[in-house]
Amino acid sequence: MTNAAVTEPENRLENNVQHLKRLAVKRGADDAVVISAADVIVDPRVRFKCMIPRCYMSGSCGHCPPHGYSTQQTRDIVSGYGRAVFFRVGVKSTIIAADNVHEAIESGVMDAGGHALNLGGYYILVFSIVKILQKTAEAEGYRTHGFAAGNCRDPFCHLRPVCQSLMTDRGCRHPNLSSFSMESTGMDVYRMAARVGWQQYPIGGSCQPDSVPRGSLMGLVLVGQKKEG
Amino acid sequence: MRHELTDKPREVRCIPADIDPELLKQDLPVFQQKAVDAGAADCAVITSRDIIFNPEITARVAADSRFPSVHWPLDYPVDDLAEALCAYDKGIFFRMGRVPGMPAYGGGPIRDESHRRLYQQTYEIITLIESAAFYLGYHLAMGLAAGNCRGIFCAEEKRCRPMIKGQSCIHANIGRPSMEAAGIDARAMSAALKWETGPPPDGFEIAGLVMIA
Repeated sequence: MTNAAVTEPENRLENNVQHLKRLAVKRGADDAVVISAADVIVDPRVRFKCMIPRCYMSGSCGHCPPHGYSTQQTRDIVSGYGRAVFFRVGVKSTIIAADNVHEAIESGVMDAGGHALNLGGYYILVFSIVKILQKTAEAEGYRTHGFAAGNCRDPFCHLRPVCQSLMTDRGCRHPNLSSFSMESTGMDVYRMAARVGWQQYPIGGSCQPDSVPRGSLMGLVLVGQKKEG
Repeated sequence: MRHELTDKPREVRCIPADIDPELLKQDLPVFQQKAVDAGAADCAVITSRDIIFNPEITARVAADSRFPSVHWPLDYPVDDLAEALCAYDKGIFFRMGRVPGMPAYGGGPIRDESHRRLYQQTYEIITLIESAAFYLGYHLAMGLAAGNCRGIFCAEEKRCRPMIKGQSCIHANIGRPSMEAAGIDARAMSAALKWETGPPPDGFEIAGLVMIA
């Protein structure tokens, strides 16, 4: 194999991931960067943050811990790719840290201000961008693996009593939209954001709109050459 | 105490690209003081190398199946809690004062109000430190408590709800595993810190551990 034979597919991949980066922004992301898959941080502590203390969705969604990939499985998946598009959707602190928004999400009873519904729209945007980037890259002949933010049950199956994928043999109701989140697979999203220079603030249930300047939801699409054979 | 847990954070720091060891060194005594102010009898800054795992404790918890919960005994199908705990460098370890005559509850229900309150206080201190650390940029801070959360918060419930497939915890954000359920020997850790341990009790130390970063 000559150097030129190696370089051409790599150049083509680089051009394509740069295109995906621009596409992410065009479709609604505030920022997007191309990173090496080696820069994806997988940490065994992250999945435990979903389980200790237990998040209201832990165990209730097929894409949330304790279900899903182990950190080793995630590392194995990531190591099979060369490049990744990492993007961020900004959310105003008046929405993501609004009064009672966390209670509304956890109880399933929407708040009068509509902030929980509004926030759900941002989550759907992240899932949508992930899928758009995956489909675009796959149409160009690449393998992809996409990861969104949060759980998929709230934005897509909020009015359904159970996660169909978890509770039945019929599989997910929204296989073309849903995916694992970055954090549910053990990716340290906050640290990754900080390392690409994005200001990320920790936002929890007791945050108020004036506690933080903004919030962000992030997604990642791994892109690799099709394997031969 | 309860009020402070739900208060908005006084300071929220941006997540750093890497933990600043000097800043962490300044913050750890603050977390330590929070534990003492909130009722811990003893408290120390430790490293993950100071955590003492004891398989006998894991076996004792596994054998105590009177009141099973999602956090007692622990069952993580694809995750390793010991591996996660060892990924931290520093943490806060504390224990509560001893109550004369308190029986060894193990994983069973705690129906005595004053005894239950002591266990609840342990959970509150952990939540307080974990939350404070989270907002100060230690977003992976994670704490382990004492006892079986079902015996403390859901003693009157027929079942631990998340043990039913697809169901959520009714005390999400409060219920958490104990040090003993994770196979950690809090008594041996207390002894290593030269805290007075007295004769071996029948039960486990009422202690808490919050790994910060």
